Amino acid sequence: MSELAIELKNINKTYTVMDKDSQNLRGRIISLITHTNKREIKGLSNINLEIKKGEFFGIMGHNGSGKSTLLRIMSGAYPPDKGGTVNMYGRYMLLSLGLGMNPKLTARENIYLNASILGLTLKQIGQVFHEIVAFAELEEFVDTQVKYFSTGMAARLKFAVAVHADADIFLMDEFFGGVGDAGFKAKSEAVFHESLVKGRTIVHVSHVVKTIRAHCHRVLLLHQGEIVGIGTPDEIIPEYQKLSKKIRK
Amino acid sequence: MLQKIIDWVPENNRLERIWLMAKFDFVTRYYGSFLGLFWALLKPLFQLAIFYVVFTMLIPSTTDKFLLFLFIGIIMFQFFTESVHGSMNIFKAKKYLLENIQINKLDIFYSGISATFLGFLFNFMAFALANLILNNTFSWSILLFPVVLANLILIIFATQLIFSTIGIYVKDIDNIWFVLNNLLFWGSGIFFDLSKLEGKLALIEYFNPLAGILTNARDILIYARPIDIQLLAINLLTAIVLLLIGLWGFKKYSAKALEKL
Repeated sequence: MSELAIELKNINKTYTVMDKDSQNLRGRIISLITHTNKREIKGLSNINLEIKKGEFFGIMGHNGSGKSTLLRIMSGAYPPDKGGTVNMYGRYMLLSLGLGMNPKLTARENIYLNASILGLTLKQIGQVFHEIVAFAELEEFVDTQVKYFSTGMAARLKFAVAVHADADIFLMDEFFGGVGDAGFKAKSEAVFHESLVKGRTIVHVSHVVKTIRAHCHRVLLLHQGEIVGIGTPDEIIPEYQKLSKKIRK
Repeated sequence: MLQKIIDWVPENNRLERIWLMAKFDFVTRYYGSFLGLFWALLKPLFQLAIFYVVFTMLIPSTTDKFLLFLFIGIIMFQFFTESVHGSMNIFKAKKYLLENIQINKLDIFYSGISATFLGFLFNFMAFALANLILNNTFSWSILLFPVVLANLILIIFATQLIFSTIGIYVKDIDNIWFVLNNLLFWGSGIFFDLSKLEGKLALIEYFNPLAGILTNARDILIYARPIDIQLLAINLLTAIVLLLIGLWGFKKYSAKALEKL
């Protein structure tokens, strides 16, 4: 567990929020000249983090603490502010409970598309195709458009693709524990254990203390975009609970 | 520089991936519609029929081989306009990929152009058939058509990059495109012969690369004339300059595409 999977250096994230009127051409020009109609909101401050290969890493925090922003910076969806560096050592996939697939395409087409983007050749996809479908328990819906799937079905499909296409890093946004019935959850957990043996890295964003405690090697606690602490679940969960009480007061 | 060239050579499954995305883009455009893929062919044929009726019966055109002249003009312009229009909301349309999986953003442009190119090929085959039946002239300069087509693809790619990048920050990009598209339609000689323009207007082929591309395409495909090398060179140069501007802007400003959605 010494090789790095993810390295974040000096990550700050500032969102620029524009008034509705500033989003058209006229508003843009006025805003450029007058520098008005926009506000800045700090999403993350000075995050430095190293996650090792094969680590199950948790990120905890309350709503608006910056958990999802951090995950999206890791996935490359959002850029950090100038001066920040994100190094991802491996192929990754972000798993969230949103659809995350093309709703107009069938499950078969989405499997081919996602697995191909993850780096598999068409021949390799053909070899694991049936395993993906069986794992996702979607044998009867292979040629159904994903728009007819429930959130759980779509999430199972995504997860199955990520597992079988051998993504090195799973970025999970409130994903674990929300997917499928008890049988599928048990299957997912088995995959996580097997994955970690294979040296996969899992970054798991969650509010749920139980899953964090059960799986994570280390946990990061975020509050208002800043790191409160990084440590074992036994060290961080009490901090999180203390913070919860403080916020509720 | 060498690294950039190497990146262009498909590593692993990059070509397969672009092809898959293009194929699915093409298929989803016509998914579930009554006539399916025939829409790809019917749309330009319908436009062709309208213009042909107008310019043969109502305001007769004096342009030689007018049907073929119009046909190639419509399908090449449609290739341009469909590709660019499709790219203006490309980040929104491909959010499901860009947000969840590591993908080179440019790949979604390559696949987008490939998808509209498939549609263009359908139409071009229909044009080629009509040209074979109705036209009795032939010149080997027809072999240069791929160069003219490559010029058009470069223009499309550059325009896509420019408009999709502006579209991240300016939400009324559709209206801007509507105006520009109309200007280009009327200024590219889709249904009239630009060579009949006089004075400064005759230079339009040099300033508007679409007009120059259409002139050269018609000369070699329909009229068996030699390609206008000077026009081709200027159109290619314009495409390269636009592409460099597009790539620069895209690299500098597209990073925030997803958070601006």
